[in-house]
Amino acid sequence: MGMVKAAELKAGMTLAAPLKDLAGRTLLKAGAVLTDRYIQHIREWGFEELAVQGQGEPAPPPPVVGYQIEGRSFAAVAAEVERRWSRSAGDATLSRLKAAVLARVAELVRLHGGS
Amino acid sequence: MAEADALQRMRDLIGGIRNLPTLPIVIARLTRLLADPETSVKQVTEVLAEDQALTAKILKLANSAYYGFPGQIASVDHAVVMLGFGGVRDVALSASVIDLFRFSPKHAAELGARFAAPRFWEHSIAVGVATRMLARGRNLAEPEEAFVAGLLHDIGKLIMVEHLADEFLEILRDCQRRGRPFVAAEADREISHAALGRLLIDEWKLPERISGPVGFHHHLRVRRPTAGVTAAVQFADIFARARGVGWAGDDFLPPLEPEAARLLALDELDFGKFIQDFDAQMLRAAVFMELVGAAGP
Repeated sequence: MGMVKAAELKAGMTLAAPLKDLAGRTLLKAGAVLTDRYIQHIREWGFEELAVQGQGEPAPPPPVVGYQIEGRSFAAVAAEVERRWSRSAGDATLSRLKAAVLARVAELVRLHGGS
Repeated sequence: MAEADALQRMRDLIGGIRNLPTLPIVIARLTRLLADPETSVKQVTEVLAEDQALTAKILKLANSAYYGFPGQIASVDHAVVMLGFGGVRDVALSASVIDLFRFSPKHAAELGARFAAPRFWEHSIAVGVATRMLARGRNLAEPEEAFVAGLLHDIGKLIMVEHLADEFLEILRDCQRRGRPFVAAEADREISHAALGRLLIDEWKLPERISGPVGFHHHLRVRRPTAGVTAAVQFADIFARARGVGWAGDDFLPPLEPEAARLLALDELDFGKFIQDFDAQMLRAAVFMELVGAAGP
């Protein structure tokens, strides 16, 4: 849910919370889809901004592939990576793969890791 | 020779199993049709019309983000046009095998977290995805057939769950307590999951192009015509483990044979980009995990 200024409302947006007047009467229900006519009324009623679904929120993080990242530090995931390589010492191709996997893990930990 | 002993033991085992898992009859008929260059779209759709449940799965997969076709594929005719005859058979096969293996409750309880079906399939799907990427990028095989070879590479382990249950548990314990790689622990017992998988796929009368890569994914036979896809499965298996996707019994990387690295020209592969592409494709392949969920434990 995010707040959008009345001047920036567009038809098709969905209300995230009921729109009430000062007396607490509901003018529009949560979930109402705004039309040009509603938007005109909202401006006439003098509302400055209102809560609209999905506006101003960061997009939800995409699900993460592979190692569990959420709630973990880079060191914890890297230790798991190292364990997988514990029998692959000396293979240059697999060492190069490990570097790429660790770089990806570091990127994912930055985006989704930690507690 | 231990390998020959293992192969003979696996032959005897498969020969002695009365209730081997069987594929839907439609798949065998499609495979026969595919061998005939005269086959028409109409013949393929007539065969598929006999199995509506399978048709529904084919359309679900064909319409998924994994294949990424523009627009809705509403009919089998349309799917044949988009995927080709072989592609439709391979999609039907992918949808069917996930359904085939349900661990009996006894074995599911014994195995518990050591070897859970959804994580096994997650690994298998990841290997299918990576094999398909390599086959496509290096023009090794039809991409959908390569996906099937990757998806089925460890199917022998599922035969072990039901028919070599005690030894399978011992192998998993060896892997987890003693840090033994699965392939070494099974070789100690004259077992080969790869050979078991190949024998099962031969029983299913699927082409050597699928059974070969399954049977030799740990020990490449460079002279076989399927060596390229086999190398792709070998590396895809390593890659899925390296990327931490799914679980196949142990958490080590199997050895990468130098011939496999050479056949795939891995020296020229940008692993950073490969990982990015793989992650994106794996998210799109979620539709296969939905099939796993529907199949139950």
